[in-house]
Amino acid sequence: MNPIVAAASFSVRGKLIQLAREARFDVQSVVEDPTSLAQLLAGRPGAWVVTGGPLSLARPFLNKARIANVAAVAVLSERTDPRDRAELDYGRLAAIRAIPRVDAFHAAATASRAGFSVWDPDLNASSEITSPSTAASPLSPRERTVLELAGSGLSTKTVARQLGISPNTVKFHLRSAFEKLNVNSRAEAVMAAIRRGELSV
Amino acid sequence: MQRITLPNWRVPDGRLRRHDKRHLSNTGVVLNSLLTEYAAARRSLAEQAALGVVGIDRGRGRRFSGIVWDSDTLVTAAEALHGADSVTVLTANGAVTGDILACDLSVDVAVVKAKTGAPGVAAAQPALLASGDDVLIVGRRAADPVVVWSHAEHVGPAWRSRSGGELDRLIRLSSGLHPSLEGGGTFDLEGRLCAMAVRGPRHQTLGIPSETIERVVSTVLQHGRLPQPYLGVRLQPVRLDEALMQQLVRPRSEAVIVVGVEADSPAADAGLFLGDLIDQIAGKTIENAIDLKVALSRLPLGSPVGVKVHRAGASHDVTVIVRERSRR
Repeated sequence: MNPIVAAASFSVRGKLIQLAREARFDVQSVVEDPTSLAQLLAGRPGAWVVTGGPLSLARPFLNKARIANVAAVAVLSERTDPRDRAELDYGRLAAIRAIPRVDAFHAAATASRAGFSVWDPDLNASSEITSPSTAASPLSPRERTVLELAGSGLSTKTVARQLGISPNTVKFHLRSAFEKLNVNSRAEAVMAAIRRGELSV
Repeated sequence: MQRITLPNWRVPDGRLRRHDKRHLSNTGVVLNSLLTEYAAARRSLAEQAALGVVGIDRGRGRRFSGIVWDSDTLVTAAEALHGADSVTVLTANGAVTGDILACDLSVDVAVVKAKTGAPGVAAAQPALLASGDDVLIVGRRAADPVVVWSHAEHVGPAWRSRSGGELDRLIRLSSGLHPSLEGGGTFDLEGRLCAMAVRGPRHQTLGIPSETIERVVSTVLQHGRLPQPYLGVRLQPVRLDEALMQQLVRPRSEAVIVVGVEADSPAADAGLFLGDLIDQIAGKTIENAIDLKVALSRLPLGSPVGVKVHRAGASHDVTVIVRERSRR
């Protein structure tokens, strides 16, 4: 079954449609307001909904999905409070951070349709002071490769030789990965990246 | 009954006074000689321990310490190396070059090949250590011994570090650690090696137990490197609802699902899919990605291992052959 994209904002709809296409889902229909979503969902138990944007705009659509008890994926553009989460959660909602990777979207869709509730840890509202640049920005492919090799205990020079780049470039990628992950050592960086699903186990 | 006598003392005008004229004791002299003996014992202990440690210089004035494990192997703190692949090893007899054989970042142990000619301190039997025991942390800054007297603040059972490393004992030392002492030896009052001193999270000083070091060193010397078992999945934490927790018989709601499968990986070969919830591997329940990493490190390479996954509402048993990541 293909998804129904539901969002009030034109630009959010565009992004969601693009994301769903990239994840190889054919968008079944697109709706602009919660009432038409409710009508569309009536009598279609297998349907699933993709919505997004700030939680305030996504909430009416999520409520309709909850009432119809269908799976929903929310691509949220801001952090959420645990209270909002408790209010919205009904077991078939997968919420992920906006600008996600396609595979995260795919996994969220799979999980919510299988009846799981998924909350991206990057959506946690926290009182910690994190600089905006470090908050949940994904690692670049190069940073990921460098971290994976360096994290397995290889020396900077060996990593540089394997990738055909200079040791200083390796250090540069590592430093920027440390900054994004908010850590100070190679071991911590590897763990943080594994927890965030950036590195494979 | 023994009378307590106090040492002689001088009043400010210089006259000698005695507390008890009937006991013109020599307590002061005895106390003095005890102190001298004590100081000499401490010094000889420090001198003896210093024979088992070296200074390490990774260039640009970054200096720390290492422990002479045997005549051509050293161990040091893996994090302190910052990815160096060779270092200068400084002993009382001069400098030699050390080549890094392997780094285990999860337990912060690096194994270095260097012919120091010094006798190794490899502990035949792990030194017994209890909370409160006095220890001395010994390293070298360049060729000079650096010694800090400290005590084991907390000695506990085996634990798992935040980096996913399994340590045979928890040893937290009471003093802060100067960078030059990182990787230095922690010795008990009989001069036996207990641990390697490293800087832990939140400015703590941790001891990496000698048994853990022994384990890493013997693996490295046997294989020439540290095996890196992997499965090839990227994971995302999820919360299970009550019904699913009961269905899967899991005590806690934390779980992980697969959000990425690497091509040509053991996971891909075994047919793991996006969205699979990894329930158990080799009978061990997996609650987070680090659990999986630790479980993998314990599995034998190249033999089939049962993985229980929850896929589309039903449990499936999958057989995975864990192997090492191929090096380009």
